[in-house]
Amino acid sequence: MSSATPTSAPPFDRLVKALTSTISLKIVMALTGLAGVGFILFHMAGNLQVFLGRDAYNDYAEFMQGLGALKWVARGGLLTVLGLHVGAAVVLIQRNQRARPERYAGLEQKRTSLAAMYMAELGMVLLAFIVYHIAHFTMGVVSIEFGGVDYYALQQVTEESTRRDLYAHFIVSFQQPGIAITYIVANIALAAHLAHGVTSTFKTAGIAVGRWKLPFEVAGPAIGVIVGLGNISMPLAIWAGFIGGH
Amino acid sequence: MDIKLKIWRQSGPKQAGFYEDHRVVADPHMSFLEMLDVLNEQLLEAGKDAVAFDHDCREGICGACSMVINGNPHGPRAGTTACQLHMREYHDGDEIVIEPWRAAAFPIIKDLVVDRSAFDRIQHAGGYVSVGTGSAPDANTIPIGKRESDEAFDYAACIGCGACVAACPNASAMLFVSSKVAHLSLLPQGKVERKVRVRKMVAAMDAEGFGGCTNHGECSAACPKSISVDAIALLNREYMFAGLARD
Amino acid sequence: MKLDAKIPSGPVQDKWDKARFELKLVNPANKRHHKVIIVGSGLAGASAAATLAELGYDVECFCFQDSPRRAHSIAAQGGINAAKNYQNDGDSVYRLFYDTVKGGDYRSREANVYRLAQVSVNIIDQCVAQGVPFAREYGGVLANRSFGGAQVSRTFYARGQTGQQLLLGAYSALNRQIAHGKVKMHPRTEMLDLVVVDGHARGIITRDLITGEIRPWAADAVLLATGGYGNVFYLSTNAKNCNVTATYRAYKRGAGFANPCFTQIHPTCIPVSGDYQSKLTLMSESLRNDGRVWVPRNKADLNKAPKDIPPEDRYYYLEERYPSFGNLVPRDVASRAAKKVCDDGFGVSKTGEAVYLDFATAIERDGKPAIEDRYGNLFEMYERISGENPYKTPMRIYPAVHYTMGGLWVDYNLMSNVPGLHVLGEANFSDHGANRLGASALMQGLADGYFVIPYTLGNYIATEYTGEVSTKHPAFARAEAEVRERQRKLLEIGSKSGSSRKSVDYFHRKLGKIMWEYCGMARNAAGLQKALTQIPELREQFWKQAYVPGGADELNPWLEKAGRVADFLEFSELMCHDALYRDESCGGHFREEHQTEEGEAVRRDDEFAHGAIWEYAGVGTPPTLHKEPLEFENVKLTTRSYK
Ligand SMILES: Cc1cc2nc3c(=O)[nH]c(=O)nc-3n(C[C@H](O)[C@H](O)[C@H](O)COP(=O)(O)OP(=O)(O)OC[C@H]3O[C@@H](n4cnc5c(N)ncnc54)[C@H](O)[C@@H]3O)c2cc1C
Ligand code: HEM
Ligand code: SF4
Ligand code: FES
Repeated sequence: MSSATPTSAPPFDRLVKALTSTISLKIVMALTGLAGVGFILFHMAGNLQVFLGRDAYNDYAEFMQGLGALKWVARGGLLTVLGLHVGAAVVLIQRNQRARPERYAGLEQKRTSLAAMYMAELGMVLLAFIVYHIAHFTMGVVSIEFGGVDYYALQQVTEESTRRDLYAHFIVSFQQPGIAITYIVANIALAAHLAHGVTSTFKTAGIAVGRWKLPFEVAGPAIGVIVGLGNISMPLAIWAGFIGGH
Repeated sequence: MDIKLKIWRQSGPKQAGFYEDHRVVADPHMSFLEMLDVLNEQLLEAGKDAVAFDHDCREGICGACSMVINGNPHGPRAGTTACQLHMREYHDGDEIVIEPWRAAAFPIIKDLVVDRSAFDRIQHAGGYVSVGTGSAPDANTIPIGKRESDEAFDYAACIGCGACVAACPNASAMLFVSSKVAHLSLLPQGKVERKVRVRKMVAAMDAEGFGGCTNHGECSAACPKSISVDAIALLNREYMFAGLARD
Repeated sequence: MKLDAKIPSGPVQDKWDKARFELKLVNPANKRHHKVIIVGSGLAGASAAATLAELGYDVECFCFQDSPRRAHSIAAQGGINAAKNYQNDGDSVYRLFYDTVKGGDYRSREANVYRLAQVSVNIIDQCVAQGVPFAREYGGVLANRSFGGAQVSRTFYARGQTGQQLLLGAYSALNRQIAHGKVKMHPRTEMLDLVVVDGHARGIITRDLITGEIRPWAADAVLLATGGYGNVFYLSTNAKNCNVTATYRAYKRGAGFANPCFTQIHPTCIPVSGDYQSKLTLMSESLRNDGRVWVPRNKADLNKAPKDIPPEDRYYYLEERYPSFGNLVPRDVASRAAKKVCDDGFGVSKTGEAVYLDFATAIERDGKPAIEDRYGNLFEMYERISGENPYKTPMRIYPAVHYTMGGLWVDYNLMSNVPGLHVLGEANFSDHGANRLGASALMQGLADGYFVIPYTLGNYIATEYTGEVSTKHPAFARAEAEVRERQRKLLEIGSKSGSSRKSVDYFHRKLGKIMWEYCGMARNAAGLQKALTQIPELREQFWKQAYVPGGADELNPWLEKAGRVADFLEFSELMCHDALYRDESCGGHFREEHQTEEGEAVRRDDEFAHGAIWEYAGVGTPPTLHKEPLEFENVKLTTRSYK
């Protein structure tokens, strides 16, 4: 009997076992997912300033650029969070697949949602998108115009100074249908991922129970929709010419 | 009524399985298992091997019966075991596909019979209150509020059938384990050992090769005792609070 | 056959204390050198296994289900009695004792029953400590209800699934010992024979139901907690796989079988709906607290919807015949009354075998929510099975076989006449006489396992243990060879029977019909004689035509079933012999020759105030009778009257 011995494995093994149990990994996913949601909300709030015009947006961008070391700490943190999230996801997905080696002729789904069924796939879309997004905005290696505009060449000249015109980059990018569509699709995926993910987080954390269940079951899709609409509104508005139109 | 059946046949744990077609004339008042009895009687009188399936009480409490019926563990009715399902749910000419529970932790023994001893092993790991015979105080010395007691009961109602595992897209046993943990940790008698219990039972659950919970809720939809997924959230909470408690 | 009941001397109140003092103890350090085999993991078996392991014995426990938690005890609905007197309504150990002896129609042993009533209070404590969620009041104390016509509220319950909750409690205690390595559990393993060495029970032969492996097990004592044999009737409220094999095999090895004809027919079950019927579902007895039983007074009304029959045309036969107990008369009385009105042609279903159980009055009086609260899940279950809504139209019910009071004979220490062979729970005959009161079987199973056998087994080991025996002893090889031979024969019939083959169930159903007809709710000499000629014929056919597919070395449910039915085909004869011998009516045993003009049972205490214990004499040979006289020092024998 595996459980017969009250004095169990050495402390380190126990620690590793406890931290990699199915529930612990789920808690890792929940915490990292939540951190991600926090970041995304913050990031969205920042970007929505594009609606306030070139100055406001570039002010914000300048502020962010000026954070210096802090910026690198944040980036490192985010990368770690993402790493843990994806790492835990990979381990759990493998366990889940191994748990049902033989498929059913058909298993009827009664309660779950499409989003929940495709969390891993949605996650992969998100991962790909994150890489693309960094390449696009952070590193500027995605060409944003057919002619090829240099990322660093876009400058805003104001009375006091000359600074990089990320607003223009933003606008020009989303005037390109390919980029706009990529972002829209990715954000639909994000919305779906969060619709299930956020509710799931609070169940995983043991909070969404009894009378608290319903509020969280609403909160997940609500946050999904808010983030989705918020993020999609930007490329849509630009594409449709509401902002940045000439 | 004339029923077409497509039933999973598998002669042993290592053999390959396949679907076999049959026809049965059923009566709407029959139970689902009685319909299978009729099929088996037909097969036996024709000198063929009949379909093996687990069953015993046939009144929805022993948890023995276990089959996925048209993609639903225990069939289409909520809160109902396969043995309590009646043929009046079906119509003349219907086709019914019958499969075993499918999970790595529940290897198939024969046809629709699977090995659910993993559940017992999880229980060995800590599904009890350590009280020896004779050492109990008078039953009324520990008052337990009706609400608490009722809530614990809701989880204690689990019949250990495994439909939750069968229904879960990840073949996770979380609803089963959590209902056991919730039952005991909600009662004062079970609180003393709650930390050690939850850690050991979760470790045992993982060791058996069940999948993890991704909060689909399919387990609860299939559960013949309609146990709420709240149990799982309670389990997670217990587990977090148990932290690295000593064994 | 030597039958010494070993009842301690002295007043009934002191017997158990005295016994506990006099029973010899086993040195704690030695207990682990004593191996005990326990067959059965129901309430009796699981509680015994856990408790003996706690004491230090080396326990091997067997059951045929895939998990010990699925033993038939799981199905009990109503509740468990205990003389706690929490309700302050006049209950006491003595009253529970008295009620049980009277309820058993004076065919049980006073000393055993008294002990049962005494330890009943400890059972509840034990179960609560394990986490059994009994029903509670708002103040947090335990709730009780009156059950099966008892005048006091002494029944503890856990919604409609008391059996499951109690068994889960015992199973958890068992699990704890399995985890500690003190109990080795062998699920899906069926005992097929008992091994007796030098007159002592020293082991068993089992078949692993998955691999088919047949193997011997040796031990210092064997405990059978294998449940009842109600399935001899094919249709019963028992789980499908309940069977008589373990106790019948022990009988064939020399254990006395006591009062096999004492069977309990439960009055409130869902009636048979067709030939395909595989089992009968019990509707909890608690329903009779609020439901009124009736049939139409006029045959002309039989085809009418019940709501169209005016009150004056309804025959509330229990209320009319038994004004003081009304719908709450004991099970045997209620069952026979239902049979009588149906035999007279007033049955209210296609088959003519059903009576109404009507809640209209109660719904009107207390409101639908109150009724729903009390019986919601039962009503739902009824609707699921019958397709009728009992809130709108009366339920239809009919009696069905439910419990067997008969069983292997045991002495006060729960040991059979074969030294070392102990028998617990429904499998023994000890406590319920000719009729069991509702909510007393769970009590007895747990009393035997938690509180009796731990004391008495030690005494056997301390005083009669004959030294170690291994499976190398030739008795094991002999028994094993016999088991194999029987199995070979069963598998062989199919290959010979050709197109005349029939399924094993075909024979089981036929046997059930014979037993129900002639050895069921009412019996008479002519009918029993008829059964005694029909059973051997059927048995012969079985051994020629029963078809068992598959092989011996695999999971083979049909082979399992064939073995069990083969035993039923012999055991049923024993039941009929006993029923024929017992020329009186008592409890569940109603001999039509012995009734009053109004159809009430007439006991014959001068002739039959004894247990009838049968000794095996060969298949087809009438068994040999032994008697254990019953002495009543505390309870006065009266005619049970519920008028
Ligand atoms: C529907 C129903 C409702 C009931 N309700 C109540 C109630 O409310 N109150 C009450 O007091 N009583 C009730 N009873 C009666 C009560 O449930 C039983 O009498 C009691 O549970 C029997 O317990 P047991 O431990 O003796 O045997 P069981 O629980 O029948 O256990 C028998 C065990 O023996 C094993 N076994 C048998 N033969 C073999 C073999 N050959 N080899 C290996 N293992 C074997 C089985 O696997 C099982 O583990 C009810 C009975 C029924 C049918
Ligand atoms: C944009 C960044 C992301 C955010 C904000 C995010 C957010 C979340 C949240 C909140 C959860 C719920 C956790 C829980 O159930 O407790 C979750 C679950 C999950 N995420 Fe992500 N995620 C992101 C990226 C990814 C990526 C890149 C993957 C890669 C594979 C991924 C895969 C998963 C999986 C498999 C789950 C588990 C599904 C479940 O438990 O239901 N996610 N995510
Ligand atoms: S939780 Fe429900 S589905 Fe799962 S084992 Fe228990 S009763 Fe069956
Ligand atoms: S056979 Fe017991 S629950 Fe279905």
